Amino acid sequence: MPESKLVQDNAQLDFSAGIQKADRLGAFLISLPKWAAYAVIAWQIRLSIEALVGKYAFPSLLTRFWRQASAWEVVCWIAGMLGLLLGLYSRRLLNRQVARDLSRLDTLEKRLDDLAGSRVGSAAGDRGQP
Amino acid sequence: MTPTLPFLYLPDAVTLILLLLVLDALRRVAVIHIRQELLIIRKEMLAFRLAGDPARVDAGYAALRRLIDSSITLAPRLSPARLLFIYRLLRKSVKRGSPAPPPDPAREVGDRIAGASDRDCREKLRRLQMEMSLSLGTFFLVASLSGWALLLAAMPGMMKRSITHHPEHRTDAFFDMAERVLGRLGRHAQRIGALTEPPPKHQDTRS
Repeated sequence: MPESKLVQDNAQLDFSAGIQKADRLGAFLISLPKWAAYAVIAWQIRLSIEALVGKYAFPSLLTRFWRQASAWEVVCWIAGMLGLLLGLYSRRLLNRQVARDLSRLDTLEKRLDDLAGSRVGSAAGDRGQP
Repeated sequence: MTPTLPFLYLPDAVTLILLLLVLDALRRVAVIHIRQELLIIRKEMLAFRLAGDPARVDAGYAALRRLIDSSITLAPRLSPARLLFIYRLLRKSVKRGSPAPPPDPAREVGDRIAGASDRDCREKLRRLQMEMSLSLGTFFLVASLSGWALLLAAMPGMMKRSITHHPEHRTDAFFDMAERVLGRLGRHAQRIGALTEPPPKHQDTRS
């Protein structure tokens, strides 16, 4: 094997490894905000559990959710719940539709391709080619 | 004497969880939406094929179909933050003058389409490829937080450039530029995203 080909293959391998590494780094980067949010949520839940272990657990829970919740929080909860329901519903619906459409298209295209293949084969047969 | 009630962070945790879930759901819905758009393009391609000779497969047609299928698979990975490091690596390798430049699927498909003998077919496939790039570019910019950040960073420059045009043509100039930028972004995103795919085990020989 010529040396230049080896060098090229090595460069290609290095490049592919670099791509994999960069892809993993990117995937890690986009998961960081999610993990940060999970950490904050866990911390908030831990603080709340500690507080709820005390004497006035139920009244404080009621007060915080009922009287101390700001209008923004209530709006966010309602919007969040609606968004979540809509998101889950659309996801289910659309996912099913995309999968169905894709399989239908694939079947149709495959049939057409087979038809094209058989036509080419028969044309070759007419010309006496193998 | 009224007891001092401890302050609870539970509602804040609930808000944050909801926010996370909603953002995640939005991203997933955006991915399904782009898949649907790409499927619509594929359906249009099929309708065009059926309108002509269905048994005839053009090389450009088959290549564009493969590109659309690959984009459908790649869609969840297409976001500026995810592809940033690959983009940097690619730029570095281009600057260094890499011996084997990475493939550019969109350009290869464009070349195949340009080689089509039928003019109608060529124009149609070219338009569909452009539509695909535009859809991917829009998805790349709108369907993720990093995309929004990129959009915010790019918007002032685009506005500034369109303001320098004559007031009558300002809107047209802005949309022309947006179309160009989105098309280019879509092609680049597709190219960079395709690099993360494992190489195909067998080559489709139909084309």
